[in-house]
Amino acid sequence: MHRTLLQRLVLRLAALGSSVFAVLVAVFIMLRLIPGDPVTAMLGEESRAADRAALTHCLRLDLPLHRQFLGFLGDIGSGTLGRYCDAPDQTVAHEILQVFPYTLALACSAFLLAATVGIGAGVWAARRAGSGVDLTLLSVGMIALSLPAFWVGPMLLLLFAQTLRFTPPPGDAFLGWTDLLFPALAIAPAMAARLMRTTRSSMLDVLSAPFITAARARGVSGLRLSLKHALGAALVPVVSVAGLQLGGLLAGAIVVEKIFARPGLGSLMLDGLFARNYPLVQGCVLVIALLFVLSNLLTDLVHAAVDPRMRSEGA
Amino acid sequence: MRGRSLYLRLGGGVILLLVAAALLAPLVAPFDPSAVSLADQFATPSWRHPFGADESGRDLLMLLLHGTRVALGVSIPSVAISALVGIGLGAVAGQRGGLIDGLLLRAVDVALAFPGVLLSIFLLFLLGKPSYTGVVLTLSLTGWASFARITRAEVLRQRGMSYAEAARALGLSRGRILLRHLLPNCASALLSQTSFALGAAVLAEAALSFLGLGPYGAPSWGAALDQGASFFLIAPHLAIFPGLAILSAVLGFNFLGDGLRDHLDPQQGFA
Repeated sequence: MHRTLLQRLVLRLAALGSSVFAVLVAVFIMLRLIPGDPVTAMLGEESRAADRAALTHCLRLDLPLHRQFLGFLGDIGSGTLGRYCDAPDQTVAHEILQVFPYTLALACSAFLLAATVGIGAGVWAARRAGSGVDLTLLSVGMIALSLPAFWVGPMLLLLFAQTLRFTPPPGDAFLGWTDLLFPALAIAPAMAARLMRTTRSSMLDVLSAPFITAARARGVSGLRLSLKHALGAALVPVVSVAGLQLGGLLAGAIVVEKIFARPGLGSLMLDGLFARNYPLVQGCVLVIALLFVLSNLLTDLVHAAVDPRMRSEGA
Repeated sequence: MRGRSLYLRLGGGVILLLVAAALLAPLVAPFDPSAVSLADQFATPSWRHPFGADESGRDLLMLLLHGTRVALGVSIPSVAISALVGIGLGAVAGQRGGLIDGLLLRAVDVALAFPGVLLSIFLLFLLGKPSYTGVVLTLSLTGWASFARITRAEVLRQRGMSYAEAARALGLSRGRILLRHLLPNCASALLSQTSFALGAAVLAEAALSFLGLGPYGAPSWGAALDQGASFFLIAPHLAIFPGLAILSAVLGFNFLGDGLRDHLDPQQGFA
């Protein structure tokens, strides 16, 4: 049965919405299973009973579990994601919006960097398959895959800021484009390596396909053959791998945020966990899950764009 | 191809060195975290301290040698657990198919897509205080999915081959076919996956320790790098060497995995 594009989109969104909901329920329950009393964690051991009661009430911890969850859903509906008990005019949504541009900028620049280098190197390696260039690229890729981002960061600073005096040393004078470039350079290598390997093997498959032989017979060759004829078809598996990597960008960002003392969604969630700040952690997880779902959706759309078969076949 | 067997030897060599270091560390350099020596604070690399000394004057080489024990001591048991769970689930799903298979595929997709470090952080908080067992368990919970996916795909592939059909025709039970015939033929793919998984586990343990969530009090490479990173402008060696240790271990396992795949399964190899 063929469904229209709109029907499929609605079905997709429903499926994605239900996974976000499942993640929310799981995190909500997990947070409440974490040992340690959030009220003590926030107020300290020697707090007054009245303060404790007020905070417990404010965090809705005096309510049964299902009422707590309904309250959380209400916070989502109101767009605040919850208010801070010590500063009622400050909301979790506000806090997240403050760090979100940093996370987005880092993820986008690392992604662009990795995609350009990875796909480019993959095409190059496939065109020279079996040669010294190919082997070198594969070995470099293997090293890039094994590099810890939390080591590359300090090494970049050491090299460019300390030894070459290329950029100002880290600290308050540390601003401008290096602020984004170094963290992106620290996360990108592993992702670029995965994209390179996928591009390379997919290009090799496509280059032996009959339509490429046909193009060769018509006299197409060289870069024109690789880029105009082969790359489009070869990109299909690359898009899937790239989509899966977006989650890795968020995870890799936590350690890099720590090194460069950079604000971001990952660090915010980690701080929230250490402080047992339930509303903050729940809010961060909600945003991360949404980002995740969005990147899935985007992957599907890009798939439909590069692979005409995806448009007509079942959802 | 020659470059490929080079991978196998290089990776194997590095891993052998690491295992030797882990076994011999207590003999050649007794671990004494309280051996503070103010005279050696931030000592640069020299004959006395080949990798220099840290902020309390402890020899960095000694710390990193003992870090090998932490890295392997966490990654080997955690990969063993994830391999057992993943291979078991993947094999059953691959052979049975149907609903079980569909459910497993979904679970694997979610587990592979969700950022592993975030999940580990969550699980570690769930388990309470940072501990050795906690780290091993959280890493197993994030690592089983790739084993399940590969086992499932391999079992599906093997099941369609004529030797499997012959075994069915002979009337062997499903369990027997799976254990005696299908799984042994998946061994080469699973062996190289084990090597990759060990590398990933070393990297993940280092990342958790770097964030202060590693095995409590253990001389982990990630923890050493975390310490070193705060002094790296005055004592760069404190950040350089722990990172090189992590890189060489992960690279060793990745090379070994790649080399094993091509060595054991030449037809699948290098396409």
